Amino acid sequence: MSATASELAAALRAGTVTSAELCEQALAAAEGASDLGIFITLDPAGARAAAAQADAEIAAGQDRGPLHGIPIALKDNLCTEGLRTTCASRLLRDWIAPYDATVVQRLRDAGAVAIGKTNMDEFAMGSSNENSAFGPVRNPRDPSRVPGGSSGGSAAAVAAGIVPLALGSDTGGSVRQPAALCGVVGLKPSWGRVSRYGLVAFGSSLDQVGPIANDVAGAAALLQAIAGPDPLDSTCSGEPAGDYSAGLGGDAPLRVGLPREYVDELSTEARAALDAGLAALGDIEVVDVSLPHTSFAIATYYVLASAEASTNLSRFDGVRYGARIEPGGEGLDGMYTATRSDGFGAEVQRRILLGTFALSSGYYDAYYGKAQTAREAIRGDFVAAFADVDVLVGLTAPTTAFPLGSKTADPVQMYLSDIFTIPASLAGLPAISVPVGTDGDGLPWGLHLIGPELAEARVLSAAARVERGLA
Amino acid sequence: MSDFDVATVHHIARLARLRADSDQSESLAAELARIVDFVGVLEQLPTPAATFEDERTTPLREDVVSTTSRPDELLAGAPDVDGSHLRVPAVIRDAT
Repeated sequence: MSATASELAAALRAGTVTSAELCEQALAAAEGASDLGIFITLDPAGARAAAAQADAEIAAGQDRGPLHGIPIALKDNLCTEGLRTTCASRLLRDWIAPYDATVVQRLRDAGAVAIGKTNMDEFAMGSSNENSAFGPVRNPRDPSRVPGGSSGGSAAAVAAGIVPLALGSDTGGSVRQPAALCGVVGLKPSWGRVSRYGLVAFGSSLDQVGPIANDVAGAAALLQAIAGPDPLDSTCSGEPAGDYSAGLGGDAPLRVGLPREYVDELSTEARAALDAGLAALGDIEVVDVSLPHTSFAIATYYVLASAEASTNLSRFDGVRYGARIEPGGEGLDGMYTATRSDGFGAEVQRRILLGTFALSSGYYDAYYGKAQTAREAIRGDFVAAFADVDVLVGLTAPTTAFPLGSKTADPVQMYLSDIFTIPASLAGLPAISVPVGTDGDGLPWGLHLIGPELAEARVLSAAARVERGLA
Repeated sequence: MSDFDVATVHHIARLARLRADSDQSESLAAELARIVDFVGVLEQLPTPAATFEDERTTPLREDVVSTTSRPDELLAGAPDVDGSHLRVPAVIRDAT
């Protein structure tokens, strides 16, 4: 379906369509697009029950808000009670969570209809969705190319017109980069804006659940449903959620910072996409700014995220969750090693090893300690920049979608895909990717807008200006 | 980082409870050495780097008793369970 969530919400209330019909359309579209590898698990029974309930409630005059009766897809690292949560890992192939993630519970309370769990890079580690035990996701715009990652399935589900909305998670760009490569909207909220309870942890100081949508208003409505304090996540901000839809029509003058570190290396074609985005923003003053520690960002990220991953993923030991491999005769320790070596894919093992190394005796200060210092410096860059500008603008990714297999041989080349998204992740800031035209092959570019902490409404409003400016 | 050799891979893999088979450990050492070289840029970070005041605080909530644990459902996701216990292979192996 190409309709936006707000168009579908209006149609549901006007009685021109039912949630059951939307649900069947979404399920049929998902089946029809199975070659793209978008879903790991579809939930026709659960979706039909939720849609029937939404139809009954809407008919009875009960209105749960803008998501009521709207089909949605969930990244498969969000716990869903009764429906498997695999994290695209062989280790959790058949694992069923005993509870819903807070964001999933909030979507159910908002009357959304979850049709299934989307494919992803294993444990959210990747930028191309090629690191999945369930096979890669293909970009709906060009199936020979990657959709980006790690929320590649969620971005592709929206880009393919299966659902108007999906949830992803973003640790270093995993919502925004696939949104850019698939030509949809993706928002990473401030760290702590959305509860992480029931999100399978990768890098806890960076992980954040975020909305993916086929328009900015849809992303705002989805954020509204999931944001806000949660007693089940003590790292979730106590600040009440803002009103994310109210300011979407605003066009007041805006001071826009253009970090020179984000534009210096852009190709001519990429620079043209950025300029188109700046023009679409309308009444702005562009200010040249510098974020001097940007060159440390990727190294900082891969040390910190991998260190946190090595700790978080130690819980997958064949005792409490998922599969176990027991070689026999090697005792408990042998079982740990066999289960983890067989259960984790190559990239996950690589990052666990890097993280373990960075935390190990003799290397901790040189890597983890240094990376913590660099992270503070990167945050400081943003604090200084936002003293003078309203938003920072760049491109979400340095290239459009690349061919499958073109970067898998070189992990470092793959890591560089996230060069523009990682700094905001390290600083815990809200950032959004909004489509800003296509390259010569018709592949979408994403414009990346970063705001100060908890200024989600501001980045959504700026993204809406781009959307209107290009319409 | 030139000292990321096969012996380091074996040591780190042992700490992480991952297998580093001998046929893989050389290529793994080369791959990790390249990544570690890449993150070596951190050595160029000027110290002390800029610092600033972090105003974020941990939200507090009322200290109210609630019962949310569901042991049967939690145990249902485990690979080997005996009643209300998680069963594991022998921790201490028979010396004979």
